[in-house]
Amino acid sequence: MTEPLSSSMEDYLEVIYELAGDGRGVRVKQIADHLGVSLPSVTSALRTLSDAGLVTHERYRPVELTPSGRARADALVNRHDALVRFLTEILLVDLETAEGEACRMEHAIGPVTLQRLVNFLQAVQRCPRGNAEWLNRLHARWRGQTCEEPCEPCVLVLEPPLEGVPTPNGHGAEPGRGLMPLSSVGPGVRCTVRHMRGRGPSRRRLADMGICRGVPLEIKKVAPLGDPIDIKVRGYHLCLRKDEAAQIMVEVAESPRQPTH
Amino acid sequence: MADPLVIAFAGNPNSGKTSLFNALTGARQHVANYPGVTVEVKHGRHVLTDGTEVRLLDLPGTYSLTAYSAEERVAREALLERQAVAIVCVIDASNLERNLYLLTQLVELDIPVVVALNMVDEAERLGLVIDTRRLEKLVGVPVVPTVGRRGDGVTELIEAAVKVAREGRRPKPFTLSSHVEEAVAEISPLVADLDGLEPGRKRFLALKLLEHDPELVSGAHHRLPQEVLDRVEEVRAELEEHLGEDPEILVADDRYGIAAGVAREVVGRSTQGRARTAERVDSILTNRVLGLPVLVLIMWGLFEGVFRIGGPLSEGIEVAFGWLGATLSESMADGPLRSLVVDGVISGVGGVLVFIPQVMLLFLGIALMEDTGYLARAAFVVDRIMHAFGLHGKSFIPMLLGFGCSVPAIMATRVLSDPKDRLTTILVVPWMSCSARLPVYALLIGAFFPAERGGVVLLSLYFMGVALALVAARLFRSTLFKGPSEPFVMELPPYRMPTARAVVVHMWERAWLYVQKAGTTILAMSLVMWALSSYPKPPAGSEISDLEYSIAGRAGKVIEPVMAPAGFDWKLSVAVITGFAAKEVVVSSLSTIYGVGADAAEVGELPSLRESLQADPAMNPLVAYAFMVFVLLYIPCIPAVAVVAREAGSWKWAGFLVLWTTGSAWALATLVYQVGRLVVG
Repeated sequence: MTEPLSSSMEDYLEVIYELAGDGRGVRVKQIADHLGVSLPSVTSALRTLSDAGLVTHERYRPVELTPSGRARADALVNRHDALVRFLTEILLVDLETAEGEACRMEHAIGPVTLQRLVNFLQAVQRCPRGNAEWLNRLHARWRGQTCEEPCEPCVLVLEPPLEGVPTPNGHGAEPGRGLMPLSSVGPGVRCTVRHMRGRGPSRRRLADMGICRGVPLEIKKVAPLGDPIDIKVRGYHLCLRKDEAAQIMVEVAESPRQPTH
Repeated sequence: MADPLVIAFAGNPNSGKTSLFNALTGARQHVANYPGVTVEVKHGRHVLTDGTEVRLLDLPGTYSLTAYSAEERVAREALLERQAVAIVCVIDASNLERNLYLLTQLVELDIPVVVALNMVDEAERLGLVIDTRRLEKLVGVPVVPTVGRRGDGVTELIEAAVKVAREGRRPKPFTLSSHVEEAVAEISPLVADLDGLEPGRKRFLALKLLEHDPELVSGAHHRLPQEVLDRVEEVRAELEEHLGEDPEILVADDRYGIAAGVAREVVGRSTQGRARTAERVDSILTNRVLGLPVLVLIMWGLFEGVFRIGGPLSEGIEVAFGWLGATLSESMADGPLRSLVVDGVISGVGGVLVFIPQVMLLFLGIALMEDTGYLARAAFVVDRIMHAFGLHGKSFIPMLLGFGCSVPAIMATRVLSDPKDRLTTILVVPWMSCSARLPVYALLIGAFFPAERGGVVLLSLYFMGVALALVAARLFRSTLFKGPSEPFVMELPPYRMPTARAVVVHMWERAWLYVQKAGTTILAMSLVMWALSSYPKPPAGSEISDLEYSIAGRAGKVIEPVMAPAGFDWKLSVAVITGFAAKEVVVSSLSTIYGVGADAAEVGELPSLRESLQADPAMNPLVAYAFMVFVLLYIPCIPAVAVVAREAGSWKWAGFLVLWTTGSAWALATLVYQVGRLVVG
C-alpha cells in the first residue's frame, strides 16, 4: 500500500465509501452528521484525503472517491468485516460488542496479522466440503451443551460453559436481548437473522430462499400500502408479507458504524 | 445410434433456462423477466456437429428440490423420474449464492451434472468477476460460462453435457455438517434394500426422509415400511433435541453454508459497477406514495396507446378490405357464390383482421412489462390490495397476462402453491379482458363513442373486469375456498433492458397466431354463419327480409326475449352465441349478419360494418355498452374452458365457470341497460 493514513482518516474514508454506496455524491454535511464532528474538521480532513489523491472535492460540489480511494476504502471495509466475522463467528462475541471492538482493532493491528487472521477464518470456515469438526465441538462446549461422545481432554480443559455465548437460537446469556421481528424494522436498516419462529412449509420455504440464521439482511423498501416489504438477502431482492416477516427475529446492526472514539 | 441422449435444463426461476434452450433448439418458447414464465416441461432437439441428436427438456424453474408450487413439482418429477441422462444446472451468475443452493441438491440425484454459468455479461456489468476454473474445482462438475440471450457458450455447454452423460460421470455430493451426516448415516442402511431404489439414490432418499419431505414420506415414490418411518422419526427427534431446530432447516442451513462459502471463494468484486439508474427508477415505480398511481398511469397509457395508435391503423386495413369486397362484387356475377365470398369470407374474416394493430400493440405493452421486470414489481405494489380480496400478489401476474389471452394466463397460475389461491385465481382470470374481446370493443367504441373518449371507455371496461374479478375472488374465498392465504414469498427480478428483437418477435408471433385463428376458427364460423343467415331463402314476394327468414334470424328471434332486458335485439343475440367458439367471432358474425342484410342495391359501395351498425335504429351507445359488458363477462371461449378443466383438475369447475360467468354477464348487462335507460330517460 501507499503511505499509511491515520486512523481517523481511515474512518473518514470508510464513511465516505458507505455513504457513496447509493450512487450519489456525498455531501460534507452528511459526513459531519455521521461522524458527529464539525463541518470545518470534515473540510480539513477532506483536504488531507484529497492531497493523498483519494477523494476529489471541490467547493460546493459533492465529495467523490477516486479509483485509488475506492480501492483503499474497499480494503478497509473488508478488514473491518473480517474482524467482525472473526469475533462473532469464531469467538462467538455478540454482534454489538464485536462491531465496536473491530472498529478499534482495525486501526491497531498490522497488515500481516490481519491477513493471517483472514486466512485463518477462511481455512476454518470456507472449506466448502464440510465444517470444522473441532470448532463445532468447541462452540457446543462454550454453550454448555453436552457432547454425546466424550470430548478429547484438550477441549475439556477449557472452562465450561462460557457466559454470554449466543446459542444457535440467537439467545445469549440474556435471552432475546436486542432481537426484534423483521416486520418492525424500517427501510434502509441492516440486520442479521438470529432466530426463526413458526414451523411448517412456509418456514421451509423461507429457508430455501436463503433466510437462515446468521444471514445479513437489508430492508430495501415497503410497498405502497405498507405491505409487503422488499428485502435484500444473499445478493437478491425478495419480497415478504409482514406476517412472514414477523416470524423472522433479527438483530439490528449498528448502521452506520460509529468511528473510533 | 441408440436412443437419443436426453438432457434436462434445471435451475432457479428466471435464471435463463429457456433462453439457453431456445438458443440450442431454435425454438421460440416464451422468455421474460419474472420468476415462473415456464410452467411446463418443453421438449426440443439439437443436433451436434458430429450429427448426434440430443433431446432437450426445458424444466420450470425451482428454488429447491422440496417442491412448493405446482410448476416446481413438475420440474422435480422430471428429475426424480430420471427422464434425463444429464442435467444442465443453469445458474444466474449475478445471483450465485442462491443458485448454488439448488446445485447442492441436484448433485445428489445420481445424474451427471454440468453447470451453465449464465448471464455472465450481466454479472460483469454489476462488477462481479467470477473465477470459473475455481468454481469448477469447488463444485466438482464442469462449469461453462454462457450468455443465453446472445447464444454465447451454448455449443460448449451442450458438448460438455453430452460428454458427462456419455462418461456417466456422477457428481460427488457435498458433505454437510457432522450432525446431519451422522443422521444420514443412520437412515441410509434402512432404505438400502428398498424395491426399485437405485443404489445411487440412497443418500438422496435418506436426506429427504430426514427432511420429512411430504411426498417421499407418504410413499409416492417408494413404498416405505412403517418401521423405517418410525426410525426416521426417532432420528429426527434426536437431532432436533440436540440442536433445537427442525432437521429440514438444519439441512437448508448447511447447504446455504456451502453455497455461501463457494460464492465467497469465487466471486471477486471489481470496484466499479452497480446498476444505479435501475435503483433510481425502482424508487419511483415502487414508491410508497407514487407506486399505485404510477401503476394506474401505466395501464391507462397502455389502453390509450392501443386505442389512439391502433385506431387509425385499423381504419387503413378496413379501407383495404372494403375495396377488396367492392372489387370482387363488381367482378363476380350476382348469386350465392358472390354472397359467400363477399358477405361470408371477406366481411367475416376481414372484420376480425381489421383489429390486428390493436392486438399487436396490446401484446407489445405486455411484453415490455414482462421483459423489463416491472410485472413482478406490480405484483409487489398490489399485493396488499389483492390480499384484501383474498387473492395473492402473485395472482396479479396471471391476471395481467389474462389481458393477452386467458389460456396461458390460466397456466401461469401454477406459480401459486396453495390450491385454494390457485383455483380462485383460475376462476377469476377469464374476467381479465383478453385480446380477443378487444376487436368487439374497438368496433363498438369506434362506432358509438367519440374518439377522444375512446381510451376512457375502453379502460372502464378493463377496470370493470378487474373490479368484478376482485369482488368474485372475495366471494369465492369466503364461500367455496375458505382458509388462510398462502404466504407471499416472491423474488423480485433485476430490471433488464428488453432486447428489441425479443419484443418484436413476441409481438409478431401473437399477430401471426391471430391471423391463423382468423384463417381457421373464424373463417369456419363465418361460413357457418353465412349459411345460417342466408338459408332458407324466403318464398318470392314475401314481406320478410332474407335475414329474418333464415335459420339464424329465426333462432335469434327465439332468444331475443331472453336478451331483451339487456337491450339486445336478435342480431346481437345471435352474435353473442357464436362467440362461444372465440370472442372475435362476435365481430365476424355481426359482419356477416349485417353484410347479408345489406340492401343488394347498395352493392358496389359496401358500407363498412361500423357504418351499418351506426345506421341500425336498434343500436345506440347504451346498447353498445351493455353489449360490451356482456361480452366482457360471459363464458370464456371454448379453449379457455378446456384449460380451466385441465388446470383445475375437473370438468365440474369448468361447468361452474360457464354458468357463473354467463349468469353474471346477463345480470350485469341488464343492470347497465336498465339503469342507463333511467338515466338517459
